[in-house]
Amino acid sequence: MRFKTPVEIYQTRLKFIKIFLILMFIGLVIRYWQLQVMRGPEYFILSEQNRIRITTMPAPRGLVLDRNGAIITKNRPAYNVVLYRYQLTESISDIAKFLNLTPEQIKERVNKYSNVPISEPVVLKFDIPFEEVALLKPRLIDHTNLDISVEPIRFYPFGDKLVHVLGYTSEISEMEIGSGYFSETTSGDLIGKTGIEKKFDKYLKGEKGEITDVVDNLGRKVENLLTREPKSGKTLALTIDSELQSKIYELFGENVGAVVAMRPDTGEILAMVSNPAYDPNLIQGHFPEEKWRELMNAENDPLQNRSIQNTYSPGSMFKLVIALSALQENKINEDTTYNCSGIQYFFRDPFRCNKASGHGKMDLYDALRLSCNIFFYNVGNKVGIEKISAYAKRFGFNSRTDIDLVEEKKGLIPDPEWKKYHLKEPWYAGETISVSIGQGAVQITLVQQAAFISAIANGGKLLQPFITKEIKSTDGKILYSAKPKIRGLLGISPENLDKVKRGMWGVVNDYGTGWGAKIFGKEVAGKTGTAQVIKKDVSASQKDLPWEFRNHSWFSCFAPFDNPEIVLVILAEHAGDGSVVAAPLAGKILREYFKMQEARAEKEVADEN
Amino acid sequence: MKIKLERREFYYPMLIMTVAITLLGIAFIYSTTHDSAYSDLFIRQIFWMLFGLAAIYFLNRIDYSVVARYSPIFYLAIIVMLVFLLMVGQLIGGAKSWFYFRWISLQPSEFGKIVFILFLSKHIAELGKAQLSFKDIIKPSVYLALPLGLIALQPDLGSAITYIPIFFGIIFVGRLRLRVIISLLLLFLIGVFFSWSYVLKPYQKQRITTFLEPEKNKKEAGYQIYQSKIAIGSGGVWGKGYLKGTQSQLKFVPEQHTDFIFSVLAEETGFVGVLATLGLYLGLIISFLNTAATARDKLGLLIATGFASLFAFHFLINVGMVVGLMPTTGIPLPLFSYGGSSLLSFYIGIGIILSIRSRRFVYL
Repeated sequence: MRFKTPVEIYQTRLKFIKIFLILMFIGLVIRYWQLQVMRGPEYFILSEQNRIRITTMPAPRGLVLDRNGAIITKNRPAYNVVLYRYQLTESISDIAKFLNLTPEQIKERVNKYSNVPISEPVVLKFDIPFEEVALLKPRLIDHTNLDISVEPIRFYPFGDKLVHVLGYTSEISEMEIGSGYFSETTSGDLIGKTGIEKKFDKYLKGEKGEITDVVDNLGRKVENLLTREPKSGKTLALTIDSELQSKIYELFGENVGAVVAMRPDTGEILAMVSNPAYDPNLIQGHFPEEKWRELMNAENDPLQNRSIQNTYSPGSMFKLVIALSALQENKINEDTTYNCSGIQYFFRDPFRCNKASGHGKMDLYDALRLSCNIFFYNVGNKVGIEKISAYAKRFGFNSRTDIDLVEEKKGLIPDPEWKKYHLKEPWYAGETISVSIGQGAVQITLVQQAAFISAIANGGKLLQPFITKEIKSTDGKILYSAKPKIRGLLGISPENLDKVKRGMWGVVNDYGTGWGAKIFGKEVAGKTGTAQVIKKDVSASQKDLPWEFRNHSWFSCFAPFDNPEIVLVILAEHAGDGSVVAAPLAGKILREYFKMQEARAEKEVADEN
Repeated sequence: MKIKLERREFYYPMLIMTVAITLLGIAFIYSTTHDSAYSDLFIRQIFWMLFGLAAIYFLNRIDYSVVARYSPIFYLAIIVMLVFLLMVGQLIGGAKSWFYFRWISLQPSEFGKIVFILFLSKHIAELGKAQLSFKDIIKPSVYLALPLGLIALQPDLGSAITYIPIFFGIIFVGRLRLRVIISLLLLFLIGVFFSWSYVLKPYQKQRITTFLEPEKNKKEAGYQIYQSKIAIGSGGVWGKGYLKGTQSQLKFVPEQHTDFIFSVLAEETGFVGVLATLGLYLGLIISFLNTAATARDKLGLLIATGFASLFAFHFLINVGMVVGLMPTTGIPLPLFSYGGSSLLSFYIGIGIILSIRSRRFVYL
């Protein structure tokens, strides 16, 4: 007797499937036999004739406009000599000789492109002058692997004046490909390296186009299979006023340092100058290494945007923080006075004032106006480091402003906890005294200070500074429009804010340390700062010191006093006292600014008529 | 009287064929991507294979009836995920079919196939009928329609239709009455006519017309098949050699690391390589069907049948597609094409088949 399994009755149907499968399989084998064995030679010839050349067309990057619509970044054509790597018809050394390059240079370029599809050409010479194009073009007929391509590259009409804001573009590095920040890129692509170009790369870069041609075995085009047109990148409209920017750059002259101009009511950055600068037109493109290395090693690091990528001691500007926190904590009022004799001992150490002979009896207004250290030593000591640090942090220090640029630093507001954690040391009471005048470990960026001064000017709103106002599609449609963003509130009562503002008014208008910023017709309010670079006797003459040991000169201000429309923060490294360099410079800049605004208003009226 | 035994040994030939095909696939993923921006894809595929092997190891040790017992929960979970994807999924390549977790992205529709096999088999087996009537396949049709509809809405028609062979494989071997089969075939023909006129989107129609006359529209959709055929044909008997396929290496053939990968193998290894690879596939599918034939119970039989149908369908459509015998549907070559979810779900399926195999009856 045959044993019946539980699945016995299904075997017929299973067998049916098996037969069906084998029939299909035989059909497939026949088909592959037909294609590969019977028609194989025929298809082989087709494949030999049928080479495809995919040429990518780089997309022009988007334009960048300033707040008044002036073009501050555009594109121009660059003529490149490119090499098609497959089916080389001549040796590398012949190509090198023809192009006046060394074979090593060519090999280096080709190696860099090793992970790019072989059908993509390699750039051997970048941005050759038009005369050379005319010379090369007729001779290419003997060099079938070479071609001259036209590539849109950047042109920055403002050159070094705006470079720290705009950045520049050059060839993507392997590290950048690996970082994942830049999507859909391959070796050889030009990408934004810093500034706006990097931050908004994904909007600016556009979409590459592609021409797919069938070419014969000599590389001649037989037919076009597909053409995808490149799409240019989006247009960015910035908050920058290029006219003001240029003016500030000129006025700043040979100084090393930075200037930030900001609208206190919105957070728009009107100008951001950093010096020394460099011309981005010279280091963009495919082979900027040499120029770039030169800049890397140049004195005073021109590549750095000093307004966000460097931090400094705020010096006496920090007295604004001390004043606001002391008032709000009710440690002082406007009538509180301290006597300044030029020197005072705290915790058995002498602390000096900037006026060796002393200021005499000082109240808040006078102490701000004359920047009396003794007054603020006492006040800071009374408020205490914990409170000072908490207020400073609330005012936006010790954290990035998240301005739409790259590599912003966050600075430092020290407190006992920080010191214990990082330096494994207890907090010394004397350090609080140093912090009270913005020395010690306190480090800020210019843009943080600009946001802080704006908050004082606008009644207490801490705004996020920004540079990109709008992103527009190529047909002018607005895709994104920046709105003022409040990061926090100072948390200071209007009365207390007014007391400090009045002090700032006095700094400029009442024979204070910032008298140099006084201008005709508009009231300026500000605060000077002189940041010590090395610990020394304050009374020693700056002129006797080598340049790199001299004090940093600071000034920050807003104007007009009653209806503030601009905030300026100026830092001149090792230039001496704030009152001597930065404040007068602020005056000059503000004078130009208001002149410019008046001219614009007049022009507007004239245009309307 | 014969003695029956439930055997518990591991069936190595099936595992070896599986791994051989996967490694072959990895070699050709490397061949097509090694000089592109995606040169690390083959490493990812290796990782997915290792995951898959771990899955096989565990599933072989678990009784498949236990896995099937939980299939309603899995089924429900898949349906929920598919609905969720439709609501919040991002469009990738025109369809909402992916879940993203850091560097891993998962396609629920792939795992859904295995779940559907288990769920449907369990249902049919529990009916306990020697023959299936029309009434018996009403519920299963609903079970089919749910995931199929949701995946078609993504819209990923290619993945959706792969659920159909599972359904028919299982109810066919589950002994659906012949007269029902014949009436269904008639209904299908009417359905084709209807959907051509009213349902199909233009791009889907284009794919079908392309399939019918590829030489006519060489530039657009016919281009893929035309180029693929040149690649395969030019491979000849012995092929152009590994990494030496001019068509594939010059990126003539599109989507060559996924749907068109077999054309690369055909170009570089020729008819000889094709024959050997097709042989491996045939051997593997036959071993699935043999597993079905010797299964311990009806559940095992139906699961193995469903999986064999799914696998064979993928294989036939893909290998037929690259030579223009089947329409371009975007169905990957099982175990071979690049794709983590697809590879892992096939490994899970094979793990379950191995579990059925190792618990089979033998006649002494």
